[in-house]
Amino acid sequence: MEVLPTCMDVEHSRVYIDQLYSNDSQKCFQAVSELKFAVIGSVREKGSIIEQGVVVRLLQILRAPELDILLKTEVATVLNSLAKGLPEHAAALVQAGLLPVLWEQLESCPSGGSGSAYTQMLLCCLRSIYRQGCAPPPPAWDQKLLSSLIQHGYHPPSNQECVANILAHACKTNEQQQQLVDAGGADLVACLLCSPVSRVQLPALHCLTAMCFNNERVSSIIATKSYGGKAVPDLLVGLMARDRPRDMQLAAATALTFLHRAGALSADDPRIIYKTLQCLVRMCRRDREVWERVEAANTLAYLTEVSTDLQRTAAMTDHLIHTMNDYLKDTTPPNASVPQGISVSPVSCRQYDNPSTWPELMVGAALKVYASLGANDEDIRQRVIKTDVLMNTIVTSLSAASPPVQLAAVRCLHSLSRSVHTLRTTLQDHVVWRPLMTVLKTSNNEELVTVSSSTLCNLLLEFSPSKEQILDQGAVEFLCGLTRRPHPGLRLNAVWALMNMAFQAEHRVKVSILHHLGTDQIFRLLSDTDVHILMKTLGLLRNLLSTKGHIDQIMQCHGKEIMQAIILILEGEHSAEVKEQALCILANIADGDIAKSAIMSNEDVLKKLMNYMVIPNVKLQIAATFCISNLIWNVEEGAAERQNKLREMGVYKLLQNLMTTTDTGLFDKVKTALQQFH
Amino acid sequence: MAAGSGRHSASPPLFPSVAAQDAVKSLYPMVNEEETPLPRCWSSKDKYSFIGLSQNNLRVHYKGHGKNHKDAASVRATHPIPAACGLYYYEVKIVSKGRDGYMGIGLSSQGVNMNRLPGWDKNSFGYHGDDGHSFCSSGSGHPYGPTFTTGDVIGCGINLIDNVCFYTKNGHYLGVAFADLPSQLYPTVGLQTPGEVVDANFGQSPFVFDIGEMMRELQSRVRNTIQTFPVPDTHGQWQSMLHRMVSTYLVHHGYCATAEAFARSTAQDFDEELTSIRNRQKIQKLVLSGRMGEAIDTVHQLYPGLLENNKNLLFMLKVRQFIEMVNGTDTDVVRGGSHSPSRPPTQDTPSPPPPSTCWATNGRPAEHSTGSSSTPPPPSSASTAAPPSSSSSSSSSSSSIIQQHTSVIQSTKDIIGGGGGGGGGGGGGGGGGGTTAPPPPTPPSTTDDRTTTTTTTTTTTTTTTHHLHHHHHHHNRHHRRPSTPPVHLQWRPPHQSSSPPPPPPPQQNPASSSSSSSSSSSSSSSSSSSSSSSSSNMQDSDTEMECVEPAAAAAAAAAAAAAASHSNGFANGFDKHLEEEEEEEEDEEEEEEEAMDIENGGGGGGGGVGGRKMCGGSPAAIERMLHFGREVQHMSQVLKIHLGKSDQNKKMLQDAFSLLAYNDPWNSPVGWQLDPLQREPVCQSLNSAILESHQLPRRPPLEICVAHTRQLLTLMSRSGLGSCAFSSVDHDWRLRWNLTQQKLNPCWHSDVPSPPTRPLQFDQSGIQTFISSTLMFPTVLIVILSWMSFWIAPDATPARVTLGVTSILTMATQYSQSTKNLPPVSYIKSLDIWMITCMVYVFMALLEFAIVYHVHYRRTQAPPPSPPRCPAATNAALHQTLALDRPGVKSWAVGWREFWRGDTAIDEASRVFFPLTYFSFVVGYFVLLTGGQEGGSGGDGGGRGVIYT
Repeated sequence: MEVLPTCMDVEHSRVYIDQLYSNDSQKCFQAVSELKFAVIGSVREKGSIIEQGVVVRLLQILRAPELDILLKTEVATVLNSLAKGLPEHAAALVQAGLLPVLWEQLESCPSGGSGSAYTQMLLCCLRSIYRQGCAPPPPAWDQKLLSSLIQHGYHPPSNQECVANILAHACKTNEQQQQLVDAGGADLVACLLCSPVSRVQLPALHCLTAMCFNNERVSSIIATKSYGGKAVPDLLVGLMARDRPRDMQLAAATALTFLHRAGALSADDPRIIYKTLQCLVRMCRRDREVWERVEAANTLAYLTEVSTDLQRTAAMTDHLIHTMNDYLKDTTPPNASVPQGISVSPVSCRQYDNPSTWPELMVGAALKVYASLGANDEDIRQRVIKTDVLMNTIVTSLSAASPPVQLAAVRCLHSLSRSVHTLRTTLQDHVVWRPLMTVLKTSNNEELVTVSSSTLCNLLLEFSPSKEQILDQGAVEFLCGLTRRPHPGLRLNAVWALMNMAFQAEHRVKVSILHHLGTDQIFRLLSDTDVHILMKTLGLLRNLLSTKGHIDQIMQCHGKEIMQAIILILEGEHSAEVKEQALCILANIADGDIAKSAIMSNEDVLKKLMNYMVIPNVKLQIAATFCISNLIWNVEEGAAERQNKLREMGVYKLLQNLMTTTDTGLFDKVKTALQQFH
Repeated sequence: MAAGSGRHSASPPLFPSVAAQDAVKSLYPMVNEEETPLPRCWSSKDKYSFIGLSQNNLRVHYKGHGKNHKDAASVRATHPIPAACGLYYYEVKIVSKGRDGYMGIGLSSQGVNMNRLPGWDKNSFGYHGDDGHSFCSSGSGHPYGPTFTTGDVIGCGINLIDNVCFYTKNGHYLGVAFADLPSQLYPTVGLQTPGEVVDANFGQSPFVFDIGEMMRELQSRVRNTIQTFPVPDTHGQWQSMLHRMVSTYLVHHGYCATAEAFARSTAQDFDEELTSIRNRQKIQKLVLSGRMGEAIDTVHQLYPGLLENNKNLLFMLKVRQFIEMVNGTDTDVVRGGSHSPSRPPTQDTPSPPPPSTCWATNGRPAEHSTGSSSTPPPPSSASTAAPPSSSSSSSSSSSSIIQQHTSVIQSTKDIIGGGGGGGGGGGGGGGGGGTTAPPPPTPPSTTDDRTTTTTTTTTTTTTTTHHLHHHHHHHNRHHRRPSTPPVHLQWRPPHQSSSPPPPPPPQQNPASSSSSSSSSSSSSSSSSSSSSSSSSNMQDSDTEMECVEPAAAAAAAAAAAAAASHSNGFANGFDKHLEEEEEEEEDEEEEEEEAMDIENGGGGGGGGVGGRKMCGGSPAAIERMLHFGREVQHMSQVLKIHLGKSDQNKKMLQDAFSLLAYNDPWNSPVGWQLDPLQREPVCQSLNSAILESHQLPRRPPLEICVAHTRQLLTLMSRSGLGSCAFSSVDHDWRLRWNLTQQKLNPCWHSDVPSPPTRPLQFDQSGIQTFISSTLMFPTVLIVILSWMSFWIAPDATPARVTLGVTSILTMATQYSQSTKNLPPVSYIKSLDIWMITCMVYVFMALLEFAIVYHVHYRRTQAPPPSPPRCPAATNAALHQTLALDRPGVKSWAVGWREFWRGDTAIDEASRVFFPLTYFSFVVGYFVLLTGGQEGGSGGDGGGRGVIYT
């Protein structure tokens, strides 16, 4: 007793660690037991044990087939305790190769003996590791292992909790979701939802959420599952009742949201539009915990992202727009302390550990909600814009914030930029394009750039006052660069923006576009697999080839390439809409004085035109006829020659035949064309 | 059969069941509508003249010009929103938006100008449809929600806990509109342009918005607040305080075994001696069963000086005793030789005016029969009238019959004999009853000196009748002796041993009674003292019966049986006949009718003809009651002199005496006093007084606490605190104890009674198995055992009788054992139903033998000429059987007998009939008992009304 306690500790620990390596299983057991008592509840001890490399020995014991199951259970207990320490500890364990050993041991456990203490401890250990959020999920589940894991998850509540947690944290990809459902995970989750223990229900909800996320097939399967005569969505509504614990309400609402977004539940389902929506809005209230508010707002934004009905309902429910304004202002959370023991969904695991990031999280969540609310309805958009500090927040977030918040800000800006009124007033006042361009030029986050470029599309609209300024910033060059990006969304947005930019633009702009884009790139875009990109490229060409003067000038420089491109389209296997666009470009070209010759000299094109005039597709017929009538326009110089040539080719006859058409649009065009003939 | 006589249980639900109320009320269960009625429609008075109402005042339409805002008009609901709603909500459907849709929906106080839309004035709040703005006591609104128009449903809710108002549109919550609302607001709507029509829904039909869920949230919030309310808890004091509360409660109400077990498991100790608890329990039992006289005496005995020191309490008890006399339940009136306090006098009525009957423990077969039967009047020859009623001396003699069943038979037979002896005896009895001035009830010691047949509460009057009684007895015995049947069976001793010793030990009987066979009469008296077995009483009473003429004997036997178990009921019948058919002639005929009536009563149970009569209908009893009344009056005067005037006492006395003013006191305005529930306050105050005399608290802390809380809740509702809506004492304070975990003493039977105020309910889940294994199963076996006699030849009389009687005795023992540990209650328990039915079955098996024997006997030979000595039990059985056998002898008895070609036929039928009916009862019992347990009450086996388990 004279020895100082610290010295004793050191001495003592050395003894049992030495014994740990003993071959005598009795001694070893003794040592593990002592280790267990040393580790439980002491973070410092956990760290030192891991540092000493004891884990390797422990894993070795686990692996040894000849050793007693009791000893192994004890070892698993120690490992579980270690895993419950700091995240770094868990990471170290994973580093030491804990997971494969655990899975292997679990697999070797008899499937019938799910109640055995060893199995339970293994599951607990796995659960603790996964809950730390640092374990990489198994790349793909071993089917047999997965089904045995699910079998283990049925019986004792502790197993239920563990398995639900493991599945919730380990299910990340589409493939895993599918595997999980195929292995009977949906039934297990439905069963767990009915458990009376909230420690089981909550991870079950998280697991359900993880399974449904963005997976239509899995969601539709889950939505049809039932347990105890109640369908899963109804069970979720039951768990979302107002007298349930808040985290449970939130988790249930999230699960329903994901089911809805994956198409399993429609937006006008009362369970969505009444229950889920109201629950989420309620969770956003000021009197809730910060993490609850952030989670709820994020989920709400996701829920209302698409459906206009939901957006309208949400906008009028419980002053939501006003509540969100609080998020923007509430920058310093009072008595900020890390919430202990909260169980947030695996997605946002460890997100709330640092109170100083909370204001940012809140701003991000609020901006997302605003973005969703304002997506479709002009009324709501106006109400959103009137919110106090919104625009300032957006601008500051755009320039200086973490990528998630930037993204939220850009999303919000994108929603708001859909309003012509806003575009011309508020957005102009706040010079939003400047930070936006900065983001575009500096960021390499693809999603961020995608959304930003869509916003830029709106800002480059012809009536937008900021268009000129953006052009001055070298937007053309940048956008043309974007069209070369591999991401199809970026290419689309870039072409779209260029198209908008080219609409009724000055000549120098068009030239600049053509210059920067280059005909090669145009051909590349025209052969793009994405039909949207193709359409927008054709649209860009159409916009470029407008007004006579521009047409002639451009055709002089690039006539050959353009005609090639058009023939490429007309000959390719494309839908009628695409070909219609191409014909429209031809019609534009035919409008130009000099450009006409490009068509007239190309008999191939003329024959194609005549072909399209007889094709049983009114739109194509109109476009072709329009092109012809442009070619033979009376007033213009050399019209007679062209008329003769076309008459020779039998165009006149064709037109007369077309007079019998029932379509008034086509009839008008044909009539105009015929009038042009002498 | 016994149970089949139909019983209403006392104890109406103390709290009105919400389900029975209308939809509006069920939304707000905590609102006391007498004090604060709920708004249910628009007020036809409190409205502006431009407003028109239709459809039960729920639809509002505008009928003014609607030119400008000066033409606005609004209407308020009939009543303000009570605070006890907690969360009030109503919905308005816009049927038509009219010209401009200037509609306002909201709240306003009384007296706000009705020529305005809600929200424009002070203390008025509204949400307007034209612009979606909310108006908070001002002419300018704030942007609040969407606009609303034709087809929309707008809901307005007020959260009385937070004092905020919110709206909903088509079921979507719009958020809080106003905060800091004043109290006493009325739902209000205002309209301003022609064509505007709105419909209101105050809860009559389901709401579009899910208000229930919101209420549940508030409820859980309030409950959470209560539960997490910080209590100064150092070193587990809080928990031990709670334990203490429970333990004191248990002790207070005499759940001694439970209290013991609880104290053991929580390491508590209680201040009172166990014996003292048991004593109190005993007294409570007496009071609750309505036997006030005995109760008072017991108190005198056990707590000398208590009542002497507390005159007011004594007075209260006496008044209650008087009421019980009127009711016919008090021992002084009943006097059926019941010396044991544990034997509850069950008084009952066949066609009951509400649930006034006390089912102390059980309804016995015979007592029902007597209660419902209209027995023929006793001979009118005896004419020495007892003063108050028209009853004759013979009726008084009949009442004496009732009081002492051993002699009942004799007296009836006496009548049959038509002899002057009977008349003379009757006259003597009447004289005795009528003239003897009743002295105040004497303490037991004096009674002991005088009584011949043992009672704890005899008065001089009763003593006299007893004497009379034995005289008759004696007389008859000689008279009838010749007709004794040949079979003798002496089985008295076992019976005696089986009867539990009643607390005031029954004095050994008729040492003084004239020349009758003292041993048999003592056996009968002790048998009647047996706490539970009425049937054994019957048997017993018949031990000294002789029988020659079956019909007569049967009647007598039945009468005896009836009297044994329920003298007052029997007297009832008599009295009725006295009044109605006084001119009845022949004795034999009377007897026959009597027998038939009894039979009716026995079989038909509740369907009997007779009504309840005061004091059980016996004139002598009425007289005693009157005397007692005088005595009480005297006492009140004495009290007035000594203690000064007491309005309370005066009122009590007046109420009690008012009972006499009515022909049918049970249905009179003061009839509530006769309700057995009224015994409970008396019982409580007596209990409290006893405890107080021992320096223990008058009321258990738990009850005080609950009472405080109740009071607090009403106070909260009065002062407008909405939380009271969600903190119901009766729902939230349920004590749920898992008995299996607590390992409590098995004395927790399935029918742990609710104490008077019923603040506690116990989870009885663990107990069912115990009951069924230790109690139900043996009784089933006994019943089955009794059926063995059907397979024994009718000749084997001793075997069959022994079997039957033994079964009955065993059953009786079982029953008394089972009730021993239970605290007294004033209503019937499910266990009683079970026990009684089993007993009846055993009894019927014996009865069946009597019939068989009789038929057998008849067929084989003529009855042998009177043997010198009367056999005991066999005859008894036989007579009873015949009583059953008796109805309509003259008309169809012969045919009936022929129909039964042989006694074996009866046996064969019984072999099937008994098991069949019995097991269906068993099944029904368990199904209904277990089914009804959750609600705290359960039905019994055969539609016998509601039993509180």
